[in-house]
Amino acid sequence: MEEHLIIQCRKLHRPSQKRVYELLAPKLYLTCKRYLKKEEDIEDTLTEAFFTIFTKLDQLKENLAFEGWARKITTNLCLLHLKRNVNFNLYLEDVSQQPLAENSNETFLEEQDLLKLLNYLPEGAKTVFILFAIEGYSHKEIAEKLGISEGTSKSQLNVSRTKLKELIEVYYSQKTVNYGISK
Amino acid sequence: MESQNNNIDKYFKKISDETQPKNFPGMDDVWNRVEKKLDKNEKKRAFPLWKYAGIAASILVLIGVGSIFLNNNSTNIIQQPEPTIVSIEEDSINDEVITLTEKDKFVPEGLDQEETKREKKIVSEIAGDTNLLKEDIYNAVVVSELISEGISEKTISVQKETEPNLNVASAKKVIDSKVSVKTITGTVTDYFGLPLPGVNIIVKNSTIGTQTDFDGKYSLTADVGQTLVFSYVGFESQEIEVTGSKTTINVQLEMGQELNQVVVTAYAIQREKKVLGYAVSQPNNNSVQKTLSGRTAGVLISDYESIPASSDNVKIRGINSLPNNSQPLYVYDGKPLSFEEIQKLNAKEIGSISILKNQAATNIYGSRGSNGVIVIQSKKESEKNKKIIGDTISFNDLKIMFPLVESNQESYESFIENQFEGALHNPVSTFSIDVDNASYTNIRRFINNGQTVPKDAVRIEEMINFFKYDYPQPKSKHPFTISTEYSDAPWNPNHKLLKIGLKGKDIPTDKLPKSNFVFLVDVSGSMNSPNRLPLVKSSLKILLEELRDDDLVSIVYYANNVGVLLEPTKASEKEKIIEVIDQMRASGGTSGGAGIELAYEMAEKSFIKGGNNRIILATDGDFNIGRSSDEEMLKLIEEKRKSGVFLTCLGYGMGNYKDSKMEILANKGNGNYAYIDNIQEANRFLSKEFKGSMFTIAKDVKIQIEFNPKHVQAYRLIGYENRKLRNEDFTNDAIDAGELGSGHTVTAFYEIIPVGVKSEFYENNLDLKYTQNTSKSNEYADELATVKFRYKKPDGKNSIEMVHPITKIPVKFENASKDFKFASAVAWFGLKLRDSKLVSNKESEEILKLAREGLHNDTDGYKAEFIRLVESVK
Repeated sequence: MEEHLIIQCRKLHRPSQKRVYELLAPKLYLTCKRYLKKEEDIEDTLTEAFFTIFTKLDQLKENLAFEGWARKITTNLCLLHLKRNVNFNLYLEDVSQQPLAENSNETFLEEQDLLKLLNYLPEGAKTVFILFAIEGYSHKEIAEKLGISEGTSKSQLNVSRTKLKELIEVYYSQKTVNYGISK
Repeated sequence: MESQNNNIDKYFKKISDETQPKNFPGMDDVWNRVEKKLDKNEKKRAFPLWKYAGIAASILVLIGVGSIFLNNNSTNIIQQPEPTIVSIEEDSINDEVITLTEKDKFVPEGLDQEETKREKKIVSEIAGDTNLLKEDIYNAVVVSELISEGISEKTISVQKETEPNLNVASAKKVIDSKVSVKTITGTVTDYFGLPLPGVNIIVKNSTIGTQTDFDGKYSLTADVGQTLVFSYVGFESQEIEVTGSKTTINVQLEMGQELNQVVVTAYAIQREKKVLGYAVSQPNNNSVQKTLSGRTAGVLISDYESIPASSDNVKIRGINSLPNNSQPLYVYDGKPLSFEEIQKLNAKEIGSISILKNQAATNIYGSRGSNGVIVIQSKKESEKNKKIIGDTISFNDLKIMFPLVESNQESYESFIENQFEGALHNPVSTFSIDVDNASYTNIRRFINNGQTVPKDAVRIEEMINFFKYDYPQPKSKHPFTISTEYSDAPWNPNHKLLKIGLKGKDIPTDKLPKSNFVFLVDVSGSMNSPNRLPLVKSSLKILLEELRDDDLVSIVYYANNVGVLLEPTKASEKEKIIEVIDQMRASGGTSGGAGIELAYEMAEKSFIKGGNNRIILATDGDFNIGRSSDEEMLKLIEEKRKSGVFLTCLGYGMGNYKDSKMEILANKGNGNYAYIDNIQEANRFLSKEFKGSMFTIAKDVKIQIEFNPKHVQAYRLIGYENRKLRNEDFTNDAIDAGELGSGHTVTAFYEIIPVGVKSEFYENNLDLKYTQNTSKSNEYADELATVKFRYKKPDGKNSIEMVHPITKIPVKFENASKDFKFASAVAWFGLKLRDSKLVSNKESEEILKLAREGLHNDTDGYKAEFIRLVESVK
């Protein structure tokens, strides 16, 4: 993200804001898609996120840190949404809306499949997994963000890892592509 | 396992990082919304520019309002807007009259093109919001600006070419809308005007909500434009939007058509419509399998096209089971069917498929449902049910939807009873001892409840071993004595019965080794019923009574998390331990695997060399999520067994569930298990049988017997079907076998067909070409058989062998010992319950007669109880 664009955004220069949006929205969309299932939720959150980004730009000190800062805002908004609607202690299975793939001809996991697998997790466990494994937060931070205990975070992480391992085994056991998974 | 975890994490992170971002469909929409919001916000930000204007406008409005009040009696300003003319005072003397005309549109100075554009936009928005004319807005601002500059309003006149001016009410609305969040109050009443307490009010699309108090009054904060939803059981909900003006919203609710929809599953009423564990789908495909696959979440059908169809293909997600058989139960129109039969069904006839998981499945279908249940109904059946789904459901309707299946079909892991083996070609029989007697307590429960005893729940060895017999105490260095008795078989006078008895040394209490007990308690949510956690607590306290002062007790719990409730504490600190026990509460999930790990850690931490180190697991059998976790747990237990820590499993509140879970755990972990269904059983197992249950004097005890074909034509072992070992395993010390506790007795029966007897149950027609068809020489001519025992000391690694020859001379039946008679009566009863094909005479009368003859030494009354049980089964 070029610095001059950010500088212009600080001045509320609309065309620059639009440009920043065009560059950043696809990335933030992916971020949201990890946490939220419904398109309308994602769009709501993105709207909220960009609004916040552009109006609270003065809180960002270092222009170069813009993208990370924007991503954090987006993640927090997603979590806020989830916090309202998700019970993080749930262990029972969520009814997933996506049907199974009828052909597993792929020889490696694509992004779609990844998301599909994640959606088989209960929402709470999935969130914790994403925060821990993909975003890299610690259990302490996750606990704070979601308003749960560290212990819950750890056990939800275990739940998701176990489930994911199972799912991977079931779907892709024939194709043992080495992504570094050892048995 | 750690590296595996890291790999999963890295794997997903890598994939997610590699994912290419691209434009998404709603991108333009979102930008438009963002822009709109930014504009609105900057209008807000521009507001400070117009702060003076705002304040002044308010003053203006107040004046306007005041004048209206004076002029008019209307109570609702908003509904009856009164035009107000900016006051014109014509009799001003000195002041300049400033006349504004249309041309004086307010153009603030110092703004560049962009900002002017924005200003214009803001104004048009206000105009749009309030139906004010743009000029009016400008005028209002100008006027207020001027007022703020100190020019008295008297001197301002407004002339316009077009019609009415400032709409005060609307202006007020505009200002009001700047201060959007309001406190709304009101009263909710019913049709008759009586206040309704407890009415739920929520602000739609937010987390704000409240309830009415006893007087039906409520108060909450909401933004203008938000909607309040009033709802109450039995009444029709109402939705009311918060407008700019009203701060009081009173609601009168009408009677509703029906109560909240209640969905009943598994005979327990749950209020939420979203039911976990129950997924329904309507099939529309040609094959049953295709119908199942992809239609319902949580059902895994693996590659049914490439793998020849087998029942292994269908697994219901989220199922845990210890035995590797993870087949769900298929029920078609009330009848359980095997997978093959299901495949033969005509898919067109299928009306509906319901899939039950977890609690829903096992609550209705019992242990067979532990892998999930697929309830398939034909079109005819589901026509009946159509009206049921979605409406209020009565229990009768439930019976139609989920017909109960007869319980004497396949509830337990079935096994085939031992058949007769020819002594000539198969003279050796090997098995592991078993001191558990859960099967008997189970059978007792069935009979007492008036239910048919499922065949596969009958383990004869456990029935026989439940009772106490008079065997001589061991005196030698060996920890047990062996006694044998050979007489007639009561159910078949042509056959004989060989009884082998083992008696473990009864260690006096003061000579018992020091104990190091770890109580591992399952405190997950399912443990909540009165015959579970509360009974566990009582059991532990009973056990506590048996301990000596120096014994160590620690308590580990597992639910969502695992943790140590009590560090190793001397049993002398009874109060402290009881306090901790009393504090246990049940809630949450079940991390059994982590619990076991922690328990073994604790046991090893306070390990007493040469002592009795034991984990006592108290659970309802509901272990983790996921098949792999169970396997891991079993592997873990197998590993830990080497550490010298024993395991006792206590099952609580398990009802008729498959009891193989407990058995497998106990076997893997060098230990024993019991079902504690009530306080008497807790007393029996943990107090009376304490020494036997808790102190192992010999482990991995195996028995091997070689029959002399000179005297024995054929033999069969009664019971111990699950305990059979290969003959080679007898000397293999790595093979795990049963544990003998202090004072325990083990009894085994062999039914023998002597040489020369023609029996309808055995045909000796093997004519071997390479092996001799006749027995060896006349050596050992008066031996019937030789029995060998192998055992290990509790902390030993190598086994010790004992040999014991048995004479061929039988004892006449009437001279047989009372114990022989009673034990064989118990065996006979077991064979009857199992509907054994190898016993022709199954008359209860005769069993009773035999049992009564053998009745003696029954201080606890268990033998008499047995007789009563036989009486109730015809």
